[in-house]
Amino acid sequence: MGNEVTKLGEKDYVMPEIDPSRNCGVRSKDDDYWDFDEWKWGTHRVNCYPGSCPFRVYVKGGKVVREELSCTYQAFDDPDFKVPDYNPRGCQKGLQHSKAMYNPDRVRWPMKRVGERGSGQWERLSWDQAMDEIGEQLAEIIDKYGAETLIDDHAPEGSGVVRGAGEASAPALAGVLGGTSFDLNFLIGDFNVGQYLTFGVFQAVSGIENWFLADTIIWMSNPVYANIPDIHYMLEARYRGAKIVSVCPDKNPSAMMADRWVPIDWSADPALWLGVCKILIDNDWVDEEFMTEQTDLPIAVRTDDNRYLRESDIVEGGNDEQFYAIDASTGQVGQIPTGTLEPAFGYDLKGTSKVTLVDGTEIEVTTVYNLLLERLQDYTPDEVHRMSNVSPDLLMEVAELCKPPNRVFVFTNWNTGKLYHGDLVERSYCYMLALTGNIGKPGSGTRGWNAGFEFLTAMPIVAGMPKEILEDPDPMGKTLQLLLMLIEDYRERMKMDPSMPLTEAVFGAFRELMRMAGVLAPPTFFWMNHAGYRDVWDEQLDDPNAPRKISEYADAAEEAGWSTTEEVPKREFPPKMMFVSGSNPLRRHRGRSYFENVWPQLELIVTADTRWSTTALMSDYVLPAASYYEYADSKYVSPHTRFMAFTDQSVPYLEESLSDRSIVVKMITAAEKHLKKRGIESYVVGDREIVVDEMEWRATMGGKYAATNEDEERMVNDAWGALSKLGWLESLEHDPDVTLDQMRKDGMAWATGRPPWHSIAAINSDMAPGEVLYPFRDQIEQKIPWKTTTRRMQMMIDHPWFVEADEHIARYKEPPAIGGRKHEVRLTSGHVRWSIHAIWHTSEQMMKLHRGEPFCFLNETEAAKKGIEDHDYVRVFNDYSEFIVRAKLSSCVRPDQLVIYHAWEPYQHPNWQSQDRLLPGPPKGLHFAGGYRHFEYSLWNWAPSQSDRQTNVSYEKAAFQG
Amino acid sequence: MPENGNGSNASQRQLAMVFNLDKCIGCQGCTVSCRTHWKVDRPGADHIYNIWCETKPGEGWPKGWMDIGRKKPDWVRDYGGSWKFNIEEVFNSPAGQEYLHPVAEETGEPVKYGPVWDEDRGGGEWPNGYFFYMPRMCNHCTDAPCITACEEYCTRHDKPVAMTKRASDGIVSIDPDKCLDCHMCIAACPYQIPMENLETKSYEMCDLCVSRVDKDFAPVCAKSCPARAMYFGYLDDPDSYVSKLVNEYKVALPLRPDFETGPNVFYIPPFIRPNKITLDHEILPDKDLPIELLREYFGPGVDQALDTLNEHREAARNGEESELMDMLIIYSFADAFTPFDVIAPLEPVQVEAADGQ
Repeated sequence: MGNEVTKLGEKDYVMPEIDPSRNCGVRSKDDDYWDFDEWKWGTHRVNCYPGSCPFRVYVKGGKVVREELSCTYQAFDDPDFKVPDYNPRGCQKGLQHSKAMYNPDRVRWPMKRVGERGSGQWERLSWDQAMDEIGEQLAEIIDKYGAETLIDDHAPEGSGVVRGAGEASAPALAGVLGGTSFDLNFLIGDFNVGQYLTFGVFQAVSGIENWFLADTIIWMSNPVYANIPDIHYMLEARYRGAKIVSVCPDKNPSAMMADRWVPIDWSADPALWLGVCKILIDNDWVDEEFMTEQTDLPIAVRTDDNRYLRESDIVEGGNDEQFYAIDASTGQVGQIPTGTLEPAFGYDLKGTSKVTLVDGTEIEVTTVYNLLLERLQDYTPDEVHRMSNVSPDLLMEVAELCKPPNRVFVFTNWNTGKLYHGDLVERSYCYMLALTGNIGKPGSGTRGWNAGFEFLTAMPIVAGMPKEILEDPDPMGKTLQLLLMLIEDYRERMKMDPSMPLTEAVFGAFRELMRMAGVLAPPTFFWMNHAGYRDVWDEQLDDPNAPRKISEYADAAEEAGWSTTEEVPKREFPPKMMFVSGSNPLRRHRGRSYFENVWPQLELIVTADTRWSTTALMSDYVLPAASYYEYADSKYVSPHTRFMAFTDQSVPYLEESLSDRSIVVKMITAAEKHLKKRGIESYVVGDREIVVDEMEWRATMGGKYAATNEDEERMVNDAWGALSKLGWLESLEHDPDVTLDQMRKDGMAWATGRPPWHSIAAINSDMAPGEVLYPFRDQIEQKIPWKTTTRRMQMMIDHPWFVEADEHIARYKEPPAIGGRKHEVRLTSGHVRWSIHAIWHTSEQMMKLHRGEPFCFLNETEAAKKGIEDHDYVRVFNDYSEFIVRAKLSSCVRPDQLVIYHAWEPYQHPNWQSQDRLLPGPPKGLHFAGGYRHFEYSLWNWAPSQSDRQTNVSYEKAAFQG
Repeated sequence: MPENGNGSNASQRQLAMVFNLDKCIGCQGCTVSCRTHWKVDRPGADHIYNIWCETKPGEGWPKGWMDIGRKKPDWVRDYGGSWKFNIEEVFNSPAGQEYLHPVAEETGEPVKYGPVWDEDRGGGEWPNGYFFYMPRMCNHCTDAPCITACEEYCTRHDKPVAMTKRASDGIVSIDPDKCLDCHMCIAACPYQIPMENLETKSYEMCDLCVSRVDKDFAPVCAKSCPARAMYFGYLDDPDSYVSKLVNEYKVALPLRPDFETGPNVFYIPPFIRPNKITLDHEILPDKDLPIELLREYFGPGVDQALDTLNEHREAARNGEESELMDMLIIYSFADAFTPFDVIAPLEPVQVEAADGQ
């Protein structure tokens, strides 16, 4: 130890000796295959979704020698539905972690760069020395520039819910010290904006088993790559007779397994779905009762401005969230109840009427349904063919597969939300679901992602609670109780609206709780103000159909004080320190501008990771995080499976690694020490007073859980205790007391009921162990209103910006050019088969199962025209940037397309330049909108999200050929 | 015993594997679990694969195996050589100078081939490109030409025979201590399956996880298949899904039956496929996958198998019961492996002496 340069990537682990003749068949009796010391439960705390696959991990001589899928999921015992069991659930990545954890890219000791940033010269430090140096620099930066300049860039990789990276721990650094933590969903861009616009939530997922019950499945994604453990439910539905329709510009690997492939033109999906809607209505293949009861289709609309008729329009001082329908018996408008979906009278979907406004003018009103009919006039089969290249016959076939009583499920992943007009894509297929009543019933619906209610007891939230909660012997349980109180308060006191649906109250209360912890901001304005994207987006987005530039939308939103902007890290605080945990911003950020603008401003970059990511290699300090088999915790639960999977400590922390939570606690402790050294006792950030003496105390939940393995195992046990006490976890035998010991026995537990976590609330159904889960049962079965502005499923968005853009009713819009109109090839992407984002992408085992380095798919014929042969390097470029990558040629790719599945480490590309470099990633300006009941920012919901799919590029054979 | 159980090396019973290619998603879960369990830190094991999944059509691995004929493939040309990564160089150089990529140890050049090189390329012309996934492993043939070749060579050299077919279950395996590294097995195998361990100088291949099978645990590849596309069991067990799929419904077929080796690995052909379309997206009557390709791979029985599968699916869509479709669904995962266990073992165990040959 000391000043010598320490080499990275050496492979020198001593593994237990294996009989050289293992796997030689005839001699199974001599084989040492069964010769292991013990097994422990294991799962992988990576950001795969839903993940949580249950493994048994086999240990010999203090090393993990292999893992195996446990196949211990119980069968369903739902009296109403026969569905296959979950077993085995897993994927090839998880099946090789025992090798990957000893891969040469592991971070093994605290490291400090010796030369310039990125020089590849590193020195090994002791933990004490590393913490001393980092603490001193943190204190100096807070003193000199203000705590606001501390930036937390976290993502969910490595995310154990109590002790893991990202969500479970990282935001506490910013929270306790007063820095800015970014909302990971908007860093990533996994926001299904069209679903959100329609339902008021985007996370209303069903159980994976629900997919099996569909009669028609629409694939708008590539589940063959992206949903490996769970796709079987859809493949198996086919053997019940279900038909799968794959809607995809290229013939992707999933399209090969569908009954119909609909090769849609770029972003033309709304044309397809509106064409389908027209056929459904023209043939009366609709569920009118559903439309009338559940949607805004009967709501009266002013014909003068295309906005809903509101009480405030016709009554002086009236409520601007009271809406009207036309009474079928009288032809007059009447108020729609706000507290229930039960109709107050017979709503006339197709009627028109007249009303007198407050100023005395008489205007005509129509209905949303009539506006939809008008819109659909533009979507005749021939017009749809012209816009989307979907032939009339194919269009009719899709419509027939959607007609009632078929149960239709639209399977989208994280792709539609990353299209610039992804909102229109999602809204238009939601129209189809609404017209056919395919919401809130088994085998129906669509999906976003949903997870993580256990984070309610994690350090980032609890550490920010009022002192009396942290002084309590059970700070985690007390935090949950506070949240439950806030829910009632939010509904009945803060918003004075007892008719507010529970979902909205949970969102609101949760928002209040998060504000106490002070940890949250959407990153949009950080990108615009500090990373150069204000200019990049205006320059690189060429959208003749957008009424305003992105910067104009942003400025207007800021001026209006809408919540999309309210938690901006203030302009006068440029970033000075970045903490990276469970994240890899230099891999993930769209566009070269992020690195070029943000990195030089940073005086301190600390990365905690299990492995040397590109970001780690470009950091100042790198701290070794323990991997998935090295400490007891669980992965986040997703309602998609409802099983919380346990991962135990199979082997000790590797080398000098520590749990991610321990690392954060140590950093906070070090900062406190050095702030005190500087004589700083407290400081103010926004409306919060940060008390230096409380820092470590807060991070350890009132001094109860120190940064030791022993204390943290107790913390895991207590966290589960707090959650199960409120009925949100139960053991496989339905024991309501879930403990660490119980998990060591069963390896998993059920999530149950309805924990008041915003995304669980979004489901609007209870989780019942052993039963099929499908969302929105509250609305369908109990007539509880939706969490939208109108309290109904919203086909229309009458925010003035949407009306101005003629998107109040969804429509097809030609996709913009992003990156230069002269570049006629569209770059598309998606989740990769061989890794979970960048995790395991550099595992030697996984790299051997493709070409060992990044590649893109190109159309064979088009590539040949440019003299490109299979495996040549190609240069991909647009007006913004470029990168070099190997070409793989196929006839399954469109001639005007370049497919590169995502998340290669930049250091896998020549010059360390990956495709993310040339993605400007403009959000859609309309999504800056606020001042509308359900356009209120809360964690993971409603902020502008970057688009990156279908960026314009050109390609040519590269001069560089290796 | 089924009709393919009458060959010279026939065993008393025969284990079989069935792959449902209509469900296989090409994830390599089988490949990876096999490597995690068997291609562990032992000399020379790292470049050996007992099972891998190919994209078809495509050259496969070793390169062009279906057309090579019966001879030993070239290690560098046909397998791609031994892959080595330059991760140390990348990490210890200034950013951007070196990038991570594989080179073949034998040549020092960037690799030009590997086990999954053709992945997702397929055949056809836009917009009718097509492919499907097909895992490959030792077929544990009833008339195993590798054993005949091994016997012939070893006997000629007055040495004990290295390859055997176990009487109790038909597992074909190689004894490394007896293997003379003569390459006769690979030269004789039309499927080009056995692989040479370059360090121990002996051949290795799938033994159906005999160590697990002897303790009644299913082979690790099959029980690790996330798509639930694999079945395992005895062909003469009327309760096993494999026997029903192979013998009763005749929807699981051997690969290249024209090689006449009596394979005991069977494939349910991909039968749910999109139709061909025109550039203007008019739907054509034919499925995208040429029937000739399926006939080449799975023999003339494929037409009847496809008809049976399609009829049963149509029946299921009309609400009728179909045992065949229920077996493709697999309501209870463990049923696909009767009488073998799928739950991961709990204890280190002492294995009783397996019965002899």
